[in-house]
Amino acid sequence: MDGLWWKQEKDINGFVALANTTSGKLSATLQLTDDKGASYSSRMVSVSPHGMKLVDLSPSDFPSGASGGIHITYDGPQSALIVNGGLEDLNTGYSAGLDFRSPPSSTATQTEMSFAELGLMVGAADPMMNFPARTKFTPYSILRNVSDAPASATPTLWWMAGGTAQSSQLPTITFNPGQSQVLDIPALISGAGLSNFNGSVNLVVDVKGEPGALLLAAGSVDQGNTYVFQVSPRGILESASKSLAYWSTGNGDDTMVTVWNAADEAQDLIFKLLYTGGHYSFPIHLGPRATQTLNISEIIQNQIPDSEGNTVPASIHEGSATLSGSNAENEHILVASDVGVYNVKKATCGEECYTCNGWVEAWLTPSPLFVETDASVQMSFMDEWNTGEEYNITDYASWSGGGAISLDPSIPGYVTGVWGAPGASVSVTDSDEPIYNEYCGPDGDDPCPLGFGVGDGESGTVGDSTPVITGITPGELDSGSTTQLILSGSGFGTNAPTLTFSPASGITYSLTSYDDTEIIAEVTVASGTPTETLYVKVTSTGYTQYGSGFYSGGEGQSATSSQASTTVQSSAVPSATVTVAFSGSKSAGDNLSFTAANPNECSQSLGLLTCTSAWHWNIEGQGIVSDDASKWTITQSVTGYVKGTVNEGGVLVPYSGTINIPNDVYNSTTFQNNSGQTTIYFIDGPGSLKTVAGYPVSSVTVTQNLTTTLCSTTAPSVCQTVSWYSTLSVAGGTASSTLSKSFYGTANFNF
Amino acid sequence: MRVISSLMLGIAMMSGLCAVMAGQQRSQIEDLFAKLDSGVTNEEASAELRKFAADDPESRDYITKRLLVLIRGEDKGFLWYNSVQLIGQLKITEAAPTLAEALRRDHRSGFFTLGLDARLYDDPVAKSLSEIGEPAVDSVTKLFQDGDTPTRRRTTIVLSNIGSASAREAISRQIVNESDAELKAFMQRKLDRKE
Repeated sequence: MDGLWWKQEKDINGFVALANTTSGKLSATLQLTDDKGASYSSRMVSVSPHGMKLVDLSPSDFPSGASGGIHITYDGPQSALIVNGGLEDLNTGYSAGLDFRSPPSSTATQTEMSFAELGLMVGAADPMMNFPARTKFTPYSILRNVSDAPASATPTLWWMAGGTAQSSQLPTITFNPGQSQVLDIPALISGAGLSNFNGSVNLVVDVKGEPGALLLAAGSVDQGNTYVFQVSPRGILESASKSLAYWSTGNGDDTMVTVWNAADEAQDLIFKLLYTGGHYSFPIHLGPRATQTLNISEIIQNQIPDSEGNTVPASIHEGSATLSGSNAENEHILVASDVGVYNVKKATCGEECYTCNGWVEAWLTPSPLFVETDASVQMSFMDEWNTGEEYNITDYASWSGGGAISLDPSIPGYVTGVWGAPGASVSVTDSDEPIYNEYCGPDGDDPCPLGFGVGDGESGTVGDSTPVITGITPGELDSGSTTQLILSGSGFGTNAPTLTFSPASGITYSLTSYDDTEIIAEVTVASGTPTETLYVKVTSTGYTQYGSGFYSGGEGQSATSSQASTTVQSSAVPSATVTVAFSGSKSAGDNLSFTAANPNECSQSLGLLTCTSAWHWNIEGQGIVSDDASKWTITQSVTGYVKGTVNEGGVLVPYSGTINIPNDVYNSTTFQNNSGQTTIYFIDGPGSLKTVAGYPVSSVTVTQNLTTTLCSTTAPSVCQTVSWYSTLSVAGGTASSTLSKSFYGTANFNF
Repeated sequence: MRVISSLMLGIAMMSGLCAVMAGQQRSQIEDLFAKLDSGVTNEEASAELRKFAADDPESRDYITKRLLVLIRGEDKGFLWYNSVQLIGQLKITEAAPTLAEALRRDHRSGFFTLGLDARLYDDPVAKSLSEIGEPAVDSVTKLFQDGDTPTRRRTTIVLSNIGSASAREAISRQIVNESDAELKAFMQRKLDRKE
């Protein structure tokens, strides 16, 4: 541990208090050095477990110079020994506290840091402070290098003149290790033309060296060394608000607050007094590098209402305070401040602890993170300050993520689940958020805040979304037909989904295509399905990247969507009535032609015909259908028997045979089923050629039983059949109109 | 020695038996061919001959040779008509060139319906060529080159009945050169499967 001593007067006394925080005895050596760092005297002491040892320093213990060091070593662990001390002269009432600190690490790197020693009183005391008449103050400032490397200091004096800040800079001073020096502040003031200056000045010391290399002590002391106003050097750093632990105006106390704008631009601040039962806000406007000194008793006495109409009740004599930007407590400001509670009657002056406000806890919400594929979650990054306030710093933080999520760069914290592995992580940092720290005693010259930055991380899960059907087309499915059904929505997955129809009877489907937002399926509604509302649900089987199966991630999503509906429109079961005309003429709407259909034909008439090369029995079939003629087809089968004779050169030679034609055909010349019409026509002319095996037929009887069937193409099970027959009887080359016949039914051919 | 002699005798008897049975088959087949020359017994004879051909390759070979000789005769009479019909039922591809030549004449015979006639299934020559199928395409297609209009019409129907890619391609090629407008339209309807 290292400390700093100086002689405000020639025969100064002092003391060092050593407190052992351990349960073991500590042996300590206290060594006083001169302003070059050379050892002058030393004392060895033993401190009992949890005990304290007070070491008095007499004038003979101090070297002859104006300043020097106090170097303390001990044989215990770090922080085992707490050291404090003071300089005093009981005759004059002089007293000054001594700060001790551990020297910086020998491996520390050189840095630049500025320290402000605020409110150094110069000349005649401010009458408002109620010091005895003709009390004059002189500032002092001492520096000692406690590191093992050289350090430099460039002091600059700042004061207010005409409402603006003025400054004067001293040459840079280099301190070797252990070296100390009392700055000649009076000469600096005089050199700046302030010989007759009465008021307060600030001394800003720009230091280059290892962090904490220079130990500083400063203050003001009156000409009788009775009143000593020590100030703590404050590290200058941008911060958020600061809290002052204590102020007092009771029992002769008063509190002096000095605020210095360390920035090159003006700043608006709020100094808020907090006390039992209320608060009072005092606005401060500071020009660049300007200083303002406040006497809290003066603020109270003025009774000027603040922006909220508050005044500090006269009965209030103590409290705490905050210094913040005028907009919010987390607004960044660049000021140095110091508070001193003094008592003129008691000739005491003390420094108070203060707090550099900042975050003490931070968290991400929601926690744990869960987001569905293709869905988004707005995350928030929150922190809580030592003041109890919570802040949403989502927009100020830097976000990054990994796994199956994406982060929208334009919307901080906006997380979207994407296809991929189900694991995800989010991390966030805000490098501008000040870290809370409290400053008391030897830490007073630490920068405020000690640092910036807050971060957090959250692991998460990405699960498949519950499928949602937002559209279904068409709105009507015809029974007895296959229709392309298009489902639009989200969360369908990239694996083949399944569709569930209700009522399921008569409904079949096959997937044509599918992706996460659209499913196209061929849906067949069986003929005869009644008109009804048809509900459909989509069940996701997840995404290809996950393998098969729906992944909920332990949350409550369902693999199956809510139902959407369309309508089944029953088409009446098609029907047909088939008749056959066996004589007479063809119907007017029948455009078929016997002669065009067959070269043996010789007439468009129905019934028995004797043509040049054949005998026929022409018929016309007619089908009346319930829907459309074009939706019907025709088939025919024939059985029968033929028996006859041919004339082979005057010899009649018999012939006979069975007839079995299972797949007789019709074509466009014999079958008319025009679209848009409900009447079907078909023609046939069964019969016999007049030659058999190249010889003329002398006689023949041929009976054909024909079964003609019309079937619906929209309802393949719907068919209508007509059975009819044709018997031709020829004798002597002439067809018999009496024995030949054609009609409904079947004919016996056992002849 | 006796044993060996007995074995040798057995082999000799087996060979003789086979020769006797083959002769019996030929005799039976010839009897059936005789029945084929009738308009009354032809159905039964055809069925028996098909059975011989299906059961025994040698019989089929014999029947094939007999039929190929028979159809080269005058295209008249029950034997010729029934032989042509049997060739189609047995799908004897070697007969395709001879039958294709016979397609130059109309051989329609006996009973019909308009549907049967539309496919020339009342013409045993056209029907047999249709039943032989793809192997008959080249022989039939040649009729487009020098056949008269009725022959080209019959050729079109047979190729349409066969229905193979090469058969349809043959019709397509003929459409380009067909001089008879009505037949040309008929060919197109066949390709469009409207007839």
